[in-house]
Amino acid sequence: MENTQLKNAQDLWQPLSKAERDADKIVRPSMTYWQDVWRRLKGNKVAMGSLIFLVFLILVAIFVPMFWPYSYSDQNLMNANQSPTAEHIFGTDKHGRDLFIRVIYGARISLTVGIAASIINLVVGVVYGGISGYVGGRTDNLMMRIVDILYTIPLTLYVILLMVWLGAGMKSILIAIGTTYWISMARIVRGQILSLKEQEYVMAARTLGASDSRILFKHLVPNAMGPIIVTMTMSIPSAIFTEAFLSFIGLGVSAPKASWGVLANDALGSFMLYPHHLFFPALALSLTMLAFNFLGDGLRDALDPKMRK
Amino acid sequence: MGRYVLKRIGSMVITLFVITTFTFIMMHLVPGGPFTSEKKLPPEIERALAEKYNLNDPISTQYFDYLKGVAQGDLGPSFKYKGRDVSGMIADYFPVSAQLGGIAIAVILLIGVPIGVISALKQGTWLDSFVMLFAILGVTIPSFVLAALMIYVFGVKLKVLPTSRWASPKHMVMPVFALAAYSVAFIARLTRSSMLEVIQQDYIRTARAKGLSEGVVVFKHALKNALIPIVTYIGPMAAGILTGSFVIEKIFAIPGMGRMFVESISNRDYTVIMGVTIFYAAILVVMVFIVDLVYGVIDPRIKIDED
Amino acid sequence: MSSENLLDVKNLKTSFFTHVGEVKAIRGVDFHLKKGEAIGIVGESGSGKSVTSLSVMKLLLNPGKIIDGQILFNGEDLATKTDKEMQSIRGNEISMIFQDPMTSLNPVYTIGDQIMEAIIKHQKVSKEEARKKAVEMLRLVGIPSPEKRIKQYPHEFSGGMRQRAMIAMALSCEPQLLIADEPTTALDVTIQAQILELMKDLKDRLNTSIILITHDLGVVVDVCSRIIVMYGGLIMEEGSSEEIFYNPKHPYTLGLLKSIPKITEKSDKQRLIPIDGTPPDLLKPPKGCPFAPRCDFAMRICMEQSPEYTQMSPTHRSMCHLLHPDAPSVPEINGNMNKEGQA
Repeated sequence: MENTQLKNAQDLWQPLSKAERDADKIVRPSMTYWQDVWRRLKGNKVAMGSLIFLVFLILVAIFVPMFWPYSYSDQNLMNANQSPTAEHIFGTDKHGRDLFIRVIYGARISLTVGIAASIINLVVGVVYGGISGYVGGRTDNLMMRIVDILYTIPLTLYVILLMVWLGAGMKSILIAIGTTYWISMARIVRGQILSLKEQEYVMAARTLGASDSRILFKHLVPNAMGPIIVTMTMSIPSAIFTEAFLSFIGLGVSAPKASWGVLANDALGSFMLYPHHLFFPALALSLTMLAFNFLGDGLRDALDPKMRK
Repeated sequence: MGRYVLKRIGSMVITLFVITTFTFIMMHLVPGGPFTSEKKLPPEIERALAEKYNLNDPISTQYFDYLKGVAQGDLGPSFKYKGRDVSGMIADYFPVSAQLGGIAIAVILLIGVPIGVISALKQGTWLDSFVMLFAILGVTIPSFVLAALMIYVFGVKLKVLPTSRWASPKHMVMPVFALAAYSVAFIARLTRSSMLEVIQQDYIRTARAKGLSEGVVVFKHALKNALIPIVTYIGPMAAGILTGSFVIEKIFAIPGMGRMFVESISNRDYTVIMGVTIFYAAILVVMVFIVDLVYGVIDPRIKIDED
Repeated sequence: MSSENLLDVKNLKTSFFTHVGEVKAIRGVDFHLKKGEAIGIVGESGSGKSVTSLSVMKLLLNPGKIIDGQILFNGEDLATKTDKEMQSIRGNEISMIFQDPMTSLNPVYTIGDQIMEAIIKHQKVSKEEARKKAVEMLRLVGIPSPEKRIKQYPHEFSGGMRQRAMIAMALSCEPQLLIADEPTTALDVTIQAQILELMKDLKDRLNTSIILITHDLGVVVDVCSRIIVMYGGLIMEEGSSEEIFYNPKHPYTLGLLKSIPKITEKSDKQRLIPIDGTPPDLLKPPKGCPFAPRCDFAMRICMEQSPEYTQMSPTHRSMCHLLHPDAPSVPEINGNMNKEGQA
């Protein structure tokens, strides 16, 4: 007994090996950047809820019309202006068309406009901003000056003018929105490229003999992705809103196809009598925009490396 | 300072020139002429109209004539309303829109900014969450949806507010609110996040370390810095109010320039569309200039003088 | 003994109550400061040195809180004072300057305005009097053409001048104590020397006590008569400048001294020896000595128990198991000591 006690006491004064010293260290599991981003996003309940809602909405928009008994143009004047019933979940409009399916079709159109326009903005903006930022110097100055002049005027005015020129319809809307909103994207991309240009790995890639365009697209652009993704997510609701706005002033898609904006506009005249005409498209529009905004906010928080806990 | 102002005026003129040209090109590229939407006119009348509006002159002549006119304030005649010219129509309808827009901007600044400040100071409390919830709704619910909602609740169900025209202060409540809602929400969020960021700064710690009261720290040291990004937002805000007025004036049947513009679009009244676009552009360009001046006054790091 | 002390900190404990748990930033710190004395608190980031000064000034922001201890300033316990009471002490009797003078000065107000507001608040004089005093202070810290400079903004000053202006601002109400938190870290080496020289000079002229906080031992040697070495929220060693530099009795202090670059004849042969490893996680503070995982002389007992303080002289103490009579002999630390632990 005494021996062990003595042994223990003497043990205490034994020097520790490095391995024993490191035993207590808390090691954080290393993760790749994108895993980290996804982990953070998952923790944001509101953003995840929005993401789920949007995925659900897209699935509904794609699949429901395939088996729904009514189509968006089936008229049945005897059933006109009905309030929601079991048969017509959202009621009917003034031509007796099922409002539910029209709202779903509206989702198709509004979402298509939103996403397609954003993709166009993305491509144009990335190319313009990427070149401007990478080439730098006088070219950059000139390109940015042009952007500054264009930026002074509200883009909505341009869109309106373009629509007047191009005439109504889906294609025109895409062209009009796609050729105006790229400006903010271009600015952001350029800013990212400028800061990334200074980073060391560009030098490293250069010393390995990579050509200029390779540097641009393989190294710089993926790292600028963060703010680009956020901007794109936020530009979808802008595009959807702009389309609704255009419909409101009479420049939207043509009947009987209807986006949510067109549905809302049509409902204006009679909504005091039949509020459900306006309520459902407006609700769909608002919820979708809300969801994209929350998702964009969540992505922005998740992509910000300074928040790494 | 004088040189800066001259430089800016110069660039404003250039911007307007570019916009005038662009608008002119757009309108003249539209397929068909300005009269295509009307019933088919007998050829003699068409010729007479073309003569009257100089439509047979080469494009370049039309262009320079137009430029000359714009510089003198003459934006040409309306194609739709015979006997009226664009500048006259603008003069008639602009005052109402100016009132609507002006009140909206006042509301945005006098309500939105303080709300943002209070929210920042009470960060994390239920008040903050409450305000932020409303802010998110304000930013995502489109103005026309909000307008319709308000008309339904206050105009139809409760019958407390008039739902159209612009006759008395009571008439102004809903349109102004619907028009301003987005920007109030945006500016409240912006003020809040700006304030929160400023409060973290080192110079606020220094101010406290000097023994200044919390009131002085917040309202003297923090606020001025927090306002800087807000001033930057005023430009886009004015643009938003302007475009928002198209929809609001239509819904509430307000006889303003926005509604006139929207009608001229459906009527394909090209001179009116061009003239109003240029007029709007001029307003915004001047606003951006004023904002830049204010910016230079608030933030001493911005150099106005070039020496 | 405590009656002659300007500042007497007893068993100070400060924690940050974050949503991941309580981070124990300071775990029981005692030190004192006499009138006209300059002491240095040295340690790495996370050692608790800045938190100590913020605790003294009661400038801790949520979620930080002082959870135990006393901070006796001229006999009064600051730990129990309200914020309003502290406002008349801050800037007036105790002043503080910070690391980065560019971000520590408000960019939208003139230097003059920022100096004058403290003077007006604490000394209740007119604007004109305050302005005169501000000019005088700028001259005192060596800024040329002070009447012109007073109307300028921080971005119009150079780095060194800004720090001088901050010192002027801090000393404008002639406080009894000046706390300088890393005042030279953001400055060029040559400017560093000037600022330290200035501080020493002002200390002598105005009889202001100074607490100089830094991670760089080289900075404190000239200005401070006593040095406190902190690590992991505790004081590892405390002694006069000579004792710390020539007779360090703690492995951490030894490590810090070894990592100072020195210019000697053999400079090309000398290597900088950094201390391996990272500071401890204060969310789950170690039960033993906080430095043990990085200590070259660590023993099993070091991971199990926190050491007691061993007093080597009236001014010199150290918290290390190697100073225990039963510890094995380690020449660098306890080589010169007899069984009673005396040097």
